[in-house]
Amino acid sequence: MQITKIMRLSVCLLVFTICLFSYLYKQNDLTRLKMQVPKINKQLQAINEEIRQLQYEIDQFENPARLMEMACHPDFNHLKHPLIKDIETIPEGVVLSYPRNDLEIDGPACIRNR
Amino acid sequence: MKSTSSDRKRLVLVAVFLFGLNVLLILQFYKIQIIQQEKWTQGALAQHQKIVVETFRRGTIYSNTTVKEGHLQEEQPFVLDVLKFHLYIDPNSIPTSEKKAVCKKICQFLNKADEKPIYQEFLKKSRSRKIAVWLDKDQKNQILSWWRAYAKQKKIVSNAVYFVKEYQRSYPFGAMLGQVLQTVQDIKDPKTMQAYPIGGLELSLNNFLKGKIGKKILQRSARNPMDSGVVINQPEDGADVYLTINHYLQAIVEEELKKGVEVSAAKGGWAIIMDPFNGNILALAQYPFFDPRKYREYFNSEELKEHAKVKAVSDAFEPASIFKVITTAICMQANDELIQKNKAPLFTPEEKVPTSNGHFPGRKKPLRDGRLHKFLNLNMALQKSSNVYFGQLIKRVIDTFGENWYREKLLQFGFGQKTNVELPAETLGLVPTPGKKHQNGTLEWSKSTPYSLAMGHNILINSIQMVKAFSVIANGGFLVEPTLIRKIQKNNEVILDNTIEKKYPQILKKEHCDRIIHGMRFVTKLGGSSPGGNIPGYTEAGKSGTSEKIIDGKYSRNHFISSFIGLAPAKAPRLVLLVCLDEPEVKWVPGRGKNHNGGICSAPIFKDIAKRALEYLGVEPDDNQKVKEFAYETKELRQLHKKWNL
Repeated sequence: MQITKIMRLSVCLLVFTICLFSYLYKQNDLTRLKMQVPKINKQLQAINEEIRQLQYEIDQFENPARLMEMACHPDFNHLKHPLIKDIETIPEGVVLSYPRNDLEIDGPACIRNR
Repeated sequence: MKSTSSDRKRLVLVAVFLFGLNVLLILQFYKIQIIQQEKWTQGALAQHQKIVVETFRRGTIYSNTTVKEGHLQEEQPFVLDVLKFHLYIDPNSIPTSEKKAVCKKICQFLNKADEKPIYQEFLKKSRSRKIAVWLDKDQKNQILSWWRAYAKQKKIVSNAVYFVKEYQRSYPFGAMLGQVLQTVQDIKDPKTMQAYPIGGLELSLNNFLKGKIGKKILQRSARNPMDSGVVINQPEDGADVYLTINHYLQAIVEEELKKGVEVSAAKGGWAIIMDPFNGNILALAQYPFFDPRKYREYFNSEELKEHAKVKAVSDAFEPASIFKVITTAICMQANDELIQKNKAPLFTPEEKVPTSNGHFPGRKKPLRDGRLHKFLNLNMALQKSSNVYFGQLIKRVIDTFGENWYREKLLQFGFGQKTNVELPAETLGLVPTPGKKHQNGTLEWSKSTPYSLAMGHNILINSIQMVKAFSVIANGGFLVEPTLIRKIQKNNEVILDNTIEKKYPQILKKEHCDRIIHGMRFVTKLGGSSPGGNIPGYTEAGKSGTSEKIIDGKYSRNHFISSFIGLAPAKAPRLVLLVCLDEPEVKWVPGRGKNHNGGICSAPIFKDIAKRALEYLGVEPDDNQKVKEFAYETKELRQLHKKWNL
């Protein structure tokens, strides 16, 4: 009788210990992740700053005054602003509902024709 | 050796003394550790840590990329804060023997030929001297990589050369939209790190654009660089502003305006494009330009300072003949009121109005037209820009409704009141008031005033007011509110939204607007005052004006403001455009006419801007060159004019 009780108690203790251990393990994991947050946040901020800096440099290069100057160049003289009536706007949902292969082969025109 | 009782006593005394000392020590520990804990903790932290301000980013101002349908609407900034670095040294930590070498190397990195001023900073007894400002990341990294190795080799503390980050207002498109954006001073409030705006949108939207500083704890140690530390209070960035102005349209207007000012040898000029249906200002350009990056040069020169203000908002001028369009609209409103009372209308657009007599009550000199016309109808009067015709119409208005009614109608179009466009220093202009006196004691409104007002004299307006009033005609009679702001957004939350459709009061019937547009279409056709304003491929309607400037209190015969206001396409207006030239050269241009006339110098700029703007917007050409749109109507009008004025 006593042996059974001891056995039960031992099992309970074992389960409790495993749960406690797993809880502590999770807590440690969480603490480790929490410690990484400020570091990753800092890295993220640095990357965002880098993106802003690069975007700024791209914008400087793509200054509309410069683009218009380039448009006058013989190489780009044939380029024209498209008319609104020539632009086909396809809702995102429609594009996503068609198989990828169709879009890649024929482009948006295939959707228009169907 | 035996211990005596006196020895024992001595021993007890020593023990008691030591115990007492111990008790005192414990009490002192208690006082320091428990009672004065806060004081000593703060003292210790002050010795080991430093609280540093974490700077915020001032709001970005974006272009309007929604104007062009069917295109990507990527965010395109006009002005943004870019992270830069200031270079500091700690002269006390750099050994005297090394100062010269360090200074020389830093000058090499900074491309500075003259080392002396920087070396002077190295010799100062200080812990912190700023030696270079606004360095970019690459320059910072170059200097740091050299310095770390050098400091290690020479055993100098690595913090003897350090960088402090700060955001710099940066303009990817340079001087574009300079006057409207303006800028902020290079120096900031040392406590709040807030920038001092100089003018323009930076000033009027400062409450939205400014952010809030954060705080960071830094360990005081030679091993800890300045950019380390823990942020205890996150900085709050300013709100982002999305303008109604499109960067590409702005570039077109600036380019064409510059060309036009140079061709007409004018002192300067400005142009505004507005969407007549919602009051969105799509472009607002002024030449000579203002470069915000060189603001000191402008504000240190009396001559250049002039170019920093937005003249379309801050300067009032007499609109002259472009105002005849408003006069026509008011006369049509008068017609409506008479018809409502079952009376005969004041006039009909087709009516043959005698225009040979320019005598009007209160005028010493008769009104004259550029050429004598015996009879004119509305189309001819707009085409020839007749002063007498509009004087005759306003005489009927005054005789029927009186002066106050006429003035009220002028106010209804928004003249004499602020448009509330989001720019500082907007002028009200001046609509004369019957019975009120000027500062010099003369009456604002005399008997002859209505006839001057009819042709745009004796009234002062700003350009935004004019564009707003003209939009009423372009949009079917609705009084829109001009704006430069689409929305303001902070942390993805919209805090001001002008994109929501608004209801505007209708002050003019659609049929009247269509009739006025029809009349204005003759202006740019053969026989009109502004054939240079005819847009190839598109229909347009417009009106030119030339007003004498007031110099030293008198009208000058040599200084003019020459303007052209129009809409295009005439059949379905997409934009309203005003072009004003300040003091174009007074000369005769063979084959064209008087250079300073609005129809000669400003109309071609209108044409060039409108054509390129409509093409950019993807508007389909509606004026078939082969069919010669409106040629039949123009021919018919010419024949009728000939018949009436033989």
